[in-house]
Amino acid sequence: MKASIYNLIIPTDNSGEFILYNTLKCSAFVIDEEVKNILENSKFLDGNSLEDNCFQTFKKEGIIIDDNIDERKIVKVLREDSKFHKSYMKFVVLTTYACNLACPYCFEGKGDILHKSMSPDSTKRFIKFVKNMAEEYNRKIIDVTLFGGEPLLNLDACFEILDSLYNWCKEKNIKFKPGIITNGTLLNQEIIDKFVKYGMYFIQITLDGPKDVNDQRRIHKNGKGTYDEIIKNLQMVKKSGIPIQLLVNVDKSNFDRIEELLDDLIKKDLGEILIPIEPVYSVTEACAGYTPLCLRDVEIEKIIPKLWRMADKKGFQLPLAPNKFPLWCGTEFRFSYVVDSFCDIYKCVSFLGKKEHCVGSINEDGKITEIKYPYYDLMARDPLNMETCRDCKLLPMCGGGCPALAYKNYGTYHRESCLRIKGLEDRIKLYLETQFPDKFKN
Amino acid sequence: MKPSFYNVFVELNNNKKEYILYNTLTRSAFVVDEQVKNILENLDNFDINQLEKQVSETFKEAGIIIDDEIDELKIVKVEYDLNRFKSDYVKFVVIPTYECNLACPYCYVEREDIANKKMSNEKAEAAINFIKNITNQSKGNELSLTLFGGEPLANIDGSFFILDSLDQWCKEKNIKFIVRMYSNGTLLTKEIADELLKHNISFLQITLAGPKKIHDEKRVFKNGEGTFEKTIDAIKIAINSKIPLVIAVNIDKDNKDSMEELLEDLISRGLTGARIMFTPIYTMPHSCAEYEPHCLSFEEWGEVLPNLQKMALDKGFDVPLDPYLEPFFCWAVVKNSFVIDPFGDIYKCTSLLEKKHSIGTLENDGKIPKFKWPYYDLMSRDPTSIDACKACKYLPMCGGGCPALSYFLHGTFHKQRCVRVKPGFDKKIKVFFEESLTKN
Repeated sequence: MKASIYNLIIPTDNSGEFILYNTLKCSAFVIDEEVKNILENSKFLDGNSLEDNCFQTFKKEGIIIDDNIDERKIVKVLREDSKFHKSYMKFVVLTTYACNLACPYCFEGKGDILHKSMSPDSTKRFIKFVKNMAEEYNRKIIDVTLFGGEPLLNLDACFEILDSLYNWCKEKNIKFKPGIITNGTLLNQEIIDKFVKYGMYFIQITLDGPKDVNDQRRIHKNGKGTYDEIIKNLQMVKKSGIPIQLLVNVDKSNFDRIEELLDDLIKKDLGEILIPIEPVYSVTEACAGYTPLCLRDVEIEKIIPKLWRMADKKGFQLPLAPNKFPLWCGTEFRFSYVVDSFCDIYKCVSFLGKKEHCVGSINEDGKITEIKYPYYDLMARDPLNMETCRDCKLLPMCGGGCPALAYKNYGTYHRESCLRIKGLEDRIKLYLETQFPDKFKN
Repeated sequence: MKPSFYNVFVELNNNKKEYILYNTLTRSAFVVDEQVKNILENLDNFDINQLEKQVSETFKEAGIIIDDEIDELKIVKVEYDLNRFKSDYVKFVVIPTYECNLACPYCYVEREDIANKKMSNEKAEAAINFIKNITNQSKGNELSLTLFGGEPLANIDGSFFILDSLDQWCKEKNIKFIVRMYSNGTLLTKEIADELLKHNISFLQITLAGPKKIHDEKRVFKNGEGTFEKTIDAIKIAINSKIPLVIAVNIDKDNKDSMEELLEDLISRGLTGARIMFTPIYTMPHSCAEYEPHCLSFEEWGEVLPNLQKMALDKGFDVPLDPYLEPFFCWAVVKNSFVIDPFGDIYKCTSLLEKKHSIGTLENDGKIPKFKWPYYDLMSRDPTSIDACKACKYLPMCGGGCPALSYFLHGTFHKQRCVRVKPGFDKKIKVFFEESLTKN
């Protein structure tokens, strides 16, 4: 037997105590220095190397494995299986490219480059497309996220989509899971009431710091800040019971002000919500100018986990659970579609509006016209063929990183991009601490 | 624009310097003259303007010429993985017994360790539940069951128990049930044939190994007596019962030149028009290795097959040619495809029925077990990462060939093994097109 190549050994705050996490099996143990040394240094492991029940448990949980097993092949199979599995189907729809804000780091160019809104005809095509796909693949759940630009600038399309799919799903006994990613400024009670009626599954809104910070960057076209209106609308959403995801984008200019934001949220009765705290990346040309303000990798590693820990201590929820399959994100799933207001289809929101990434279009019958080459190019991405990824311990949870960023950096999807991997060990540690507090008495 | 890497040219025998242009990726086909061939083969200095506008438009549409930035190997990879993992269908081969009433010298399960093992009722039930669980999990609306052996009719109770149970379950669940059986035929009766037909059997394969004289040396009862007459009776029973029958004719060095005699004999027995498929005999190191000197190499086989097909077609038999032009499907590397043997061991391929290749064992309740390493080893086979396959024009149709034979030769699934597509491709494709042209 030999040790798995996917054992990650992370020091805890107690000396001589470590977390052993297997990124392939997602199994975790607390171990001491002796076991750590055995796992790290023994070329050959048998029943004599470790105590018997420890040996048996490790064998069962994939910490130690048979000599002939090449675990990278397992990763490869799990990856292809997840990608092509028909049970994952997700639609993101751009009701408009236009936006009423002018955030400096916008990857879509603030609605100034493209500002087309979805026409009633295109809206109908999109709805038909969703229904066709659901019927063809016998779906029991339909997952549609409204996106923009600012989706609420095209209220007619939003509600046409929600209303029509809600009723159709009810009739067909399919679960409808709509979501919306909005800047939050255009919400009002009437809209929220309708969302409740349609079973809105989540609302994602963004705040980037306390009022003075946020109002420098989440701004109207005329420069006016958005903090107060967003807080007011967040409170309204919270009352409605629709789950909130409050995204906080962190960079050099605001990382030291996040605590103030969190405290203010608590004061305003917005504690305990789900709060993804993520570094800002420049993934498109539209926001390339913002790059100097983005945190560098070493800074991300130092700063972001500290913010997660802080938010956790203050009682917020955090999306910390490590990935359980070797894909970076939904983009590489076969049936993951981003449909823009022209009814062109992309695989990722950061490809929007760029013909070289367009994988097809929806025709009048609600069918994909022809699958174009970028679809094959992206779907053929295989981190097992990438040198950096091939022997990386984190591959089973990372899947080679963000294909969009790889494209931006190297002009191809077929390169690694070690995004968010910085601080990943801390993320796992924090996740395990929150899941098993009694195991980490500090 | 550039010409596709997957254009294959095959010269027609009409003395006009004309060629079949066949694209192995898009499966489009044209007849072209030498000039067009030369233009398309000039990969380094391809000039689209040398083609007439209408021709180049048609070629674009058909994938004969493609955009410069397209790497077709990526398309091959995605389609290969999509077909393996999309899980729209589930396919099971069940071996109700390893027992057989014959003693053919090239038998692939003639091994002491498994001889005569019959599937117990308990295991059959576990197999049925396993099959139901996989079908439910895959949410497919089609279930394919193949009864295999040994001789499946040597365990007729077991075979029909499995058939009945799954047939009924599929009816309840509104799932299409597809039944296939491979049999030596000697135990087939009118009653059994009618019973099989009730279960909508869509494919019954019965095997011959040459004209009577040769067949009776190769396909023999345990006492050494030949089976030709019995097999012919079975073929007649099946045809009279209207079961979709395929006569498989096993070919090796000994009988390849005697096929005319066999076909004439079949005609004289009133079997003109029967569906005939020629299949090569090959050996496996763990069972019939000593038969190897009789076998044709796959290169020889590629040359022999089209001649046999042509002869059988000319004599009025129904010869399926399409398998060579369909996307090659090795079921062993398809996610929801399993072989279950009488011990209750689960495998991916009938050529890999050795414990070390088993991917799991049936649990009593048919719960899907955690698959073992050989599942991942086999499923991770990626012909687009095999150097010889990357450079091969036949890859889109072949998929890297047979992983089991690769294992026998190289000790790994991850090597090429050209079996069915490349050897004799030119000849085969000519037979195919001549046939489809005469039919239309």
